[in-house]
Amino acid sequence: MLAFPLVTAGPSNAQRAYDVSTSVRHDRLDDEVIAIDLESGAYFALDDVAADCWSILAAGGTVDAAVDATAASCDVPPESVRNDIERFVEHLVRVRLLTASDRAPTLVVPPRAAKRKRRYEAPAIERFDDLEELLVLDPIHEVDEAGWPVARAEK
Amino acid sequence: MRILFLTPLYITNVGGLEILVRQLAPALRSRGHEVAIITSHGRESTSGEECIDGVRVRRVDAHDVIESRDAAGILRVELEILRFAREFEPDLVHSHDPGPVLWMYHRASRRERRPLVVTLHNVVTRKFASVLVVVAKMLRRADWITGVSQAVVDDVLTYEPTVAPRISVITNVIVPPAVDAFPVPDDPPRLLCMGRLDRQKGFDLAIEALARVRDRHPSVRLALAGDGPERTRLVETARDLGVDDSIDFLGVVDRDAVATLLSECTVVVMPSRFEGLPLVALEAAWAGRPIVAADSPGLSGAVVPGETAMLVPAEDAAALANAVAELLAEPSRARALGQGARALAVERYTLDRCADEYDAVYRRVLGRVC
Repeated sequence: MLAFPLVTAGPSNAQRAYDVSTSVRHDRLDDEVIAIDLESGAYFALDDVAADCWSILAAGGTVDAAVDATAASCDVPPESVRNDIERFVEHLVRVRLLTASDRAPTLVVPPRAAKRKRRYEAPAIERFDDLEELLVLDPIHEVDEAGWPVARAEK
Repeated sequence: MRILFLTPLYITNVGGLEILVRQLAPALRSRGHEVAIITSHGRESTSGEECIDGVRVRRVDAHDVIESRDAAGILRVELEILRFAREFEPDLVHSHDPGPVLWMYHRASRRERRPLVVTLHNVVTRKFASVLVVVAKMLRRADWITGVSQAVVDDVLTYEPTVAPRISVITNVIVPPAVDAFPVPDDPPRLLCMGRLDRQKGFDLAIEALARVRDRHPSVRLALAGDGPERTRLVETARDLGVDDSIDFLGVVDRDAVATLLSECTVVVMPSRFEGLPLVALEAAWAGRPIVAADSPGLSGAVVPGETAMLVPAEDAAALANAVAELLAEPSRARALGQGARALAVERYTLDRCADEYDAVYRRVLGRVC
């Protein structure tokens, strides 16, 4: 994703930048973004349109940029997706994945612009609060004929 | 079909699960399937990809990031799993335990569900009641579940009875050890215990039994192959009972050494408190060696009392000693049990049989999904 600093006057919400919360780690594979809040252990998954919007915002882009990119990739009028995306961003702020920033937004050119069109679906986020399950399945570093879950001696 | 195995650990870690998977993967490939493995790495290996026996093996540090509560690392590992799984494009996923690697695969692949087979290699309820809720949840997601013994299957049904319509037994197998099965040496009589030195295996009971057996057979020796957290305690027990000069603590031995030990032993002793389906029982059967075993979950199903082994009550060193002493006093009976064990191995513990049964499960699952 290409990014260039932009200079704008007094941003509206649609034109402001956002920061990924400092406790959040995220990564993208193909059309899927996974984010995890290190403080709460909550785990989030964003797909397709939501993943693209996130990638733009996480790179310093604006809601306007996300709207334009979504409209281009889905071949729909921008105003038909604006409400959905604005609500989506509000939700990202509400769950503390993003915070509103005072810095100048960045011009972000999403790489998807030249790719085949996708079907529009309102961006959504899936949340998982079951990371504790993984921690309950306490891993084992030595295996015998019994296999997992025979515990290590030190535990 | 393209089959993705998930295992907690893999070769060079050597345990029953790893041995089975290492045999099963090439057997399935010989049937025209493509196999790849995702596993976590242990102390003997590192993250990355390699090829073992013609099978791609992707190691991720799943265990480390979980143990260290590294949430960012968990995210990274899940993406590594997803990346590999997407590239391999399995028709079916076969997890060889319901543990962390399966959990992470399941989370990573939430958009690309594949038919899932889960194999359990041990009873879970005996030691880990706290994980049962999560294990049950993992099993409910499976399209089919297998256990390596009836005891393992029965164990599952105690905490997740809803999976009863889609669970079955597929017993473990091993490649027969290169052993001269007959005759069975008995002068001097040699007892053999093999396995991890932990409380599950009950080797403390074997040492207590040895003290009693030696009263009747003064030249008897016990070879104890394996290592583990109980080693120090077992050595102390042997010393306290005055039998330390009749025991050889051999540590971990390689497969060639296992064959030699089986060749040289008179009786294999298995006093385990519980098991899945111990490979030692299969190895002893292939070697034509009689077994004296505890009547405990998973172990009693691996032998045929009176035909391949003598069964004694679990946690009973005196009964264990009596049975061993009887066999040592009756070489013809010991030989007969050994021959029975060998016949059982030929009938039941072959790799072809095991691979065919897993293949049938895969086809059944894919047929149901289609």
